[in-house]
Amino acid sequence: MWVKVHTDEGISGIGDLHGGSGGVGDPAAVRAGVEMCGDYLVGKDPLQVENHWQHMFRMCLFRGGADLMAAIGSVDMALWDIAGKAAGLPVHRLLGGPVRDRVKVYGHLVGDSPEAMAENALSMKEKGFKALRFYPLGPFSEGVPDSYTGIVRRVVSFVEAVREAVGPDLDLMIDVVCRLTPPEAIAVGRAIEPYGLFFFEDPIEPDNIDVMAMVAERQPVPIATGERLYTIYQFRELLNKKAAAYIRPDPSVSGGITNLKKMAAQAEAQYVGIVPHNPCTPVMTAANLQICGAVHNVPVLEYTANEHRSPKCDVVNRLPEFRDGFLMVPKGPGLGIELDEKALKRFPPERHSRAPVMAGDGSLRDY
Amino acid sequence: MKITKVETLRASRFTWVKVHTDEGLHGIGEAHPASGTSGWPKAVYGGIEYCADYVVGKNPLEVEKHWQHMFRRQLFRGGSDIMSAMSAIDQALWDIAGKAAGLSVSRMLGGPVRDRVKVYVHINGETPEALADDARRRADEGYKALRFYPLASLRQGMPDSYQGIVRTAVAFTKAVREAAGPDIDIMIDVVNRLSPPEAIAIGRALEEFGLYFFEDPIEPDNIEAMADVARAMPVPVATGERMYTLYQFRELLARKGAAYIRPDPALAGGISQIKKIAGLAEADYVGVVPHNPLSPVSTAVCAQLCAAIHNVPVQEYTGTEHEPQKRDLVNDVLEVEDGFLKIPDRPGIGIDLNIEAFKHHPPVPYERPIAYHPDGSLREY
Repeated sequence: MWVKVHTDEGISGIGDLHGGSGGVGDPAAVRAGVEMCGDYLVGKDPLQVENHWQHMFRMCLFRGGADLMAAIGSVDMALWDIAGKAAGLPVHRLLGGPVRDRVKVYGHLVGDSPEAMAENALSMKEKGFKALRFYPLGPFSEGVPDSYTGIVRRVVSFVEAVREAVGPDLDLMIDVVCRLTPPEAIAVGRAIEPYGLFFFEDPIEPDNIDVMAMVAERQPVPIATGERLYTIYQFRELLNKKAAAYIRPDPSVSGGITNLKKMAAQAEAQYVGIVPHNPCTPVMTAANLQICGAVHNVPVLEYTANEHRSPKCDVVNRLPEFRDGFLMVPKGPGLGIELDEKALKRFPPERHSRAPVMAGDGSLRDY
Repeated sequence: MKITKVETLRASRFTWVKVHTDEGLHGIGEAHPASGTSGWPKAVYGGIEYCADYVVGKNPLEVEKHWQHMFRRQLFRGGSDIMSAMSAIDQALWDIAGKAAGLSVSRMLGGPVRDRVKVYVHINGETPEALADDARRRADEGYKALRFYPLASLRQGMPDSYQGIVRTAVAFTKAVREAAGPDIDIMIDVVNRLSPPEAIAIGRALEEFGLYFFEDPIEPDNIEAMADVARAMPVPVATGERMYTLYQFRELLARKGAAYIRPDPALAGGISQIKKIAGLAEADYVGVVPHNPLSPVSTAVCAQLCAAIHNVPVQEYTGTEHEPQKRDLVNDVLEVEDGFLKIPDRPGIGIDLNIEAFKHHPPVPYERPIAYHPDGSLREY
């Protein structure tokens, strides 16, 4: 999903739209959020980006959640796209950049067994990737092993296989998508210390920052978290409590380029890296690359590594260039990417389904 | 585009940089005197030379990159002097970037959120009556916020007793409140001259006058003590004009040492860093009130920041910009109308120096008054 913001001067802007609470099923609430933002924005000068951000954030009185923030973030991206095009500059140049012309990316690995994951890791290494991320608990839709020690053994077997396959000098990270309990996460983190992981992402559920800080303190792998957080107030607390070595705001859910720039500053003051969340389409990748072009403290960017495959490659006019493990920051005006709207017809919207993760007794663990 | 030269320009009590490029564009920025706030700011001049060694030959448009290099290249972090030099160059680079894009700096940063900003003007007087007269004059001119030093004469030192200090502050504040009426915001600044017990006693005694803020109650170095003072008295604390890193402001905010922070664009890392500091303050519901005691160039830079930042409640304004030692030195000054500073929408920072006039205003050293204890020992500059 995307938003497109039209103007009376022929310039338009686009933004990638995260599914928000519609990460499972139909993101109806996000679509409604876009309508609300549209009601406010139509008739306004698109170049007053910060002003509109503040209005969209505050006009609901009761603060919106992930859905409204995803809409605000997407619209914000589109307004920056317009501002860049109006000025004839890539967005990172409006923001004082470039600080870099490329950014190291970590590619996603897939594999249901340690052997399959190791094989995928090797092929990604051959493509030039210098950092790789994987889910270390087996088939993603099958849940997690049924015992405490089984979880630890499973993770160790995947991490060991991938590390042995790629050798010592690639950065490796794991993501358990908030599926572990604090004791499980701590045991896993301690057990995988010898493999030198770059980060351990979303070890536990995202809602309780105190407990995230406890997990960060009680195991040795640096924590990356924040893809489900969306305000500067949440990131302030996360940072003050030292719950993350890397923060992962999403350019759509976390309030767009405007809000991510502020979060980056909060992180810079804490010596924390910002690793923007980037699970959507090449439009989000382009927006993230503009942020990477303007922000000092970006160590690495997420990259799904499937952008050259249909449908992602078919729906945009160009893909960010991958070169030897790095993505190049686009130099064209605005975000530096356009949708191919004719091609969209060939890919009708489909529901996103996310399987529940069940405990051994049939009760719900998490999605 | 390449930077060809960084000039240090001086006139009156001000220091600026002018950054030249090979494409004819130039940018200007103002440097704070920093450690040279008493005497000549020689260390700032040295800092400018040091930063110039780095930036000459570079592309001026890569502002954030150069900020990071200038901040990090000395290994041992620079203090206020290097930060002042960096700040001036950062302002000049944003000025160039704006001119190159044909945009005001605020527009590059996602603004404007406002096209004018309320200012608080400085009022002066060494007796309660004289200060009240100045308050009435400024209120009649349309100003909606007034700031004063409530301890009699800035130059002649302080009352000699704990109770004398409190009585003096009450007398001055009462006079200003009565002259200004109930609906004008009034704020005091004791320029870091009080001890924590004195500051707390004053803050509690002044509660009934509804001060908007109490600025720099105690010395600036100990943030924990500043937070103690903020907790122990009811007037909101404004502080930060002597701080210059993101890290200092982070600690000030995390410890709740201020309701308003006062980063100076000519000291606290320029436009690049003040935007970051503002983001930190926004997350703590703290207002950014840019420090602005220098020339009209500083005012122009503050105005661009005010147009780009949501959480600016009010802007400092000396009220002296039409005086020759300021007005002559620039091509234009920003105007105040009905208590609000009008923010220009011109490329860059929207102001330039009038170097022709510098010969009429030769450089002069700063003279900072010194506050002594009654036994002759030093209190604070």
